[in-house]
Amino acid sequence: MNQYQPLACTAEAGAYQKSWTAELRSAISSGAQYAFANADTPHEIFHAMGMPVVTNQWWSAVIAAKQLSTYYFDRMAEMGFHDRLARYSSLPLIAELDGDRERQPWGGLPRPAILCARQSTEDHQRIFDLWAAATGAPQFLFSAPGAPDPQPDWWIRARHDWEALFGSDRLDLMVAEIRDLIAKVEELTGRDFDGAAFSLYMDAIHRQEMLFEEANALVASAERCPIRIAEQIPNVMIPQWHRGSPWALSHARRFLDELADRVERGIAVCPGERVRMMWIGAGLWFDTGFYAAFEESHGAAFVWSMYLPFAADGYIRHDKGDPLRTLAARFATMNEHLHQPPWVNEWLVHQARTYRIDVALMLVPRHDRYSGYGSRFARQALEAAGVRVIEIWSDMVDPREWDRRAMYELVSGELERNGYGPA
Amino acid sequence: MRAVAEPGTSVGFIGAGLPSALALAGGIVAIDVECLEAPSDMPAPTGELVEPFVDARVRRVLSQLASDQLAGIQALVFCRDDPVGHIAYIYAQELRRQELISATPSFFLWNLVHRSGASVRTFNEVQARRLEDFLVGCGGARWSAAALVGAIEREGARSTARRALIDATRLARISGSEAFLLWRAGGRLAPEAHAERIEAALRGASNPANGAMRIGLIGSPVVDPHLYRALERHGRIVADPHPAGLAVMPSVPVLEGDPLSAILKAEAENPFALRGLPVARNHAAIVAACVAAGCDTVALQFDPNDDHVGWDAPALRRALRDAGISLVELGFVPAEPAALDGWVDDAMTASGSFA
Ligand code: SF4
Ligand code: SF4
Repeated sequence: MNQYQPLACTAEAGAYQKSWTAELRSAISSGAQYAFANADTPHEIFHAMGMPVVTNQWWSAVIAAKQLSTYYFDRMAEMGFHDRLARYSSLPLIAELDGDRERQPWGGLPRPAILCARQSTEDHQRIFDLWAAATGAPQFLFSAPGAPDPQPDWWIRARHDWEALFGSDRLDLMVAEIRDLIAKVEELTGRDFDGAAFSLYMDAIHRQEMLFEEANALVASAERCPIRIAEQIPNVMIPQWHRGSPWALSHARRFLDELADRVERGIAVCPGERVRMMWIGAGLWFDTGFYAAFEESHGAAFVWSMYLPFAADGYIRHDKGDPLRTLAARFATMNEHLHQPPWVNEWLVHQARTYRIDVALMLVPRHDRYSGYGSRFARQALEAAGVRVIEIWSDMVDPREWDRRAMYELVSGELERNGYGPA
Repeated sequence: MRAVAEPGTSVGFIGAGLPSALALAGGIVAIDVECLEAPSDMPAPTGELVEPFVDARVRRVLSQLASDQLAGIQALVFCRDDPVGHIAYIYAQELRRQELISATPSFFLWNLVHRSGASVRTFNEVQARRLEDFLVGCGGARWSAAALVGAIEREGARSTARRALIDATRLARISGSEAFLLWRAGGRLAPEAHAERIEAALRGASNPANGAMRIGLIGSPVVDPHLYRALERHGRIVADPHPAGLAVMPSVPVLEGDPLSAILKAEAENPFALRGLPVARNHAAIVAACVAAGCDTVALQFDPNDDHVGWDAPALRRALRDAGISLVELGFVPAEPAALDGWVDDAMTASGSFA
């Protein structure tokens, strides 16, 4: 029997986010404003100006975790959208278009004051345009020109050498657009942007991401993995959605301390850990229990998901005296690092080595093509590095084609074929 | 007909969004590599590295590269704001980094952003200067103001011919399939030759198909004439405002002030550009083209891998209905050309438009 006990801070993170959402709803009914934004946009600007942010992909994951996505994807078809469109970024839109707020988790999302996305894919501008039409909220879209000369070792260069890595032209454009966003939020809130305070706030975010970097190093180097990925994710992502706030910083600290204590005491997810696995791609939000499915039977534990290491590599950008430009360097190429070659393949190999990975499960969402492109390059690179890769053709929020039992059999069959028999 | 690239100073491009006047100003006629032959299969190992949901047009250019069919081309420009150009670039540069495809042609990512505003204008000018440097490296000339003006004028003649082609299509003097082939031929012809070819075809065209059902074709970009032919067994395609259709060429740059800015502005504000903003302007332009052509019905189709045009469907349906135009829902285009006729017939029957 697995005696695994969750970290105390895991429940705290969940409770914080739930009460934050409830408070947000009541604040909004008394006139407060909030922004609804994609994960790869500079939330920092909204936070700095006292406007809370609800992240599209987080809300999508919540809807899926509450087992509501099947209903909404059926509604999506009734609304006249075909069934090969991406689901992750659109599930909240469908819930909004459906209109029945009571059906949504936690009583539903109120109307946002502004919508914000980056045109990293062709569908974001369309999804956000539909949101704007449905809610009357203004939309702000960042453009997303491509990277002409993508350097494989982005996670090293992006810390100090980001001007050269992302290119001055792209950074200039992003900074100009960030300034436009600031003007828009000033207009909406009637508040002025405070550059000096923003600089301090960016420092706080930097400190938070450095704590996550330490946490990541601890998890990676521990003899056996001390924390399930289903717990890593909320402990990282909830503070990330509030990054730089006093709560987020203290939570990151608490998380790190608890981890350090566990590692010191030798507590492991899977005391009989024999196989170290990575889960590649976004979470399997409607069935996060799947991550624990191979612990007892095969001594196989998921030790890696992108969220913890990405909190460091995706966010840490050393300030060169211009916080807005530093911010632009965080977002000029954000999710692309997780999905496009050469970035994704090189980073995954580096991560697999750091974490001593044996087996990778790779989520390939065929209808979320920008999350699926580059999967084969990643697979090839990981296999060349000695990692066995199992493709999981499914979707992060759509359970309609997910067959847990069949997937369990597929993965355990592969584990056994590779010499990782039942424990 | 598709051709093989001739060696020499030739520059290819993939995807929409490269103003042909820019290459022309440097003395280069840029060739749309979709007009060139491609092998039917992607050779290994490239084939194994491209997921099945990468669409056919991207696979096609990757096949051309993997089988060295573009070796006669010196440079290939990928248009970032068209997913075909963008995705092809992502894969092609990685294949090259891994030395799985040869080192020629050299690659360039054309990063023009499709929107207006001062910061985007500055950005686009930087991209244009980079393109100029790149083309100079390929044997092109620097863009003098006079050369840019000259290129705009040469392209103006082509645009005039293209407008005549659109008018003739609307009047059903020429079939949509023929018009489409004539328009696509521009992908590998200098403006004068292209204009001449269109004019010659229009001189010979005099069979107005009065009384035939007037069809509009919208949805995903269509680059294959088979679908046009399958639809035209039921009537005449008189408008095709999908992202690769006749109407999508940006308007001729207005020559006041700096000619380079004029060229970039015309492209950046092209209402038919896939990533153009605002979205509503794109919908309005599509519906206006169908109304102007007097469509009786509009056929809506999607690429089997579509992940963006589908979001527009409900709004387009509503706008067409408000304009009194009926809709034929074709759904996803079958991969096999042989299946097209039956597929179109079924949709026409289902919509009550079977002629
Ligand atoms: S602050 Fe962190 S990211 Fe920056 S150089 Fe030091 S260790 Fe590296
Ligand atoms: S899966 Fe990738 S593309 Fe989708 S939200 Fe997460 S980072 Fe962005």
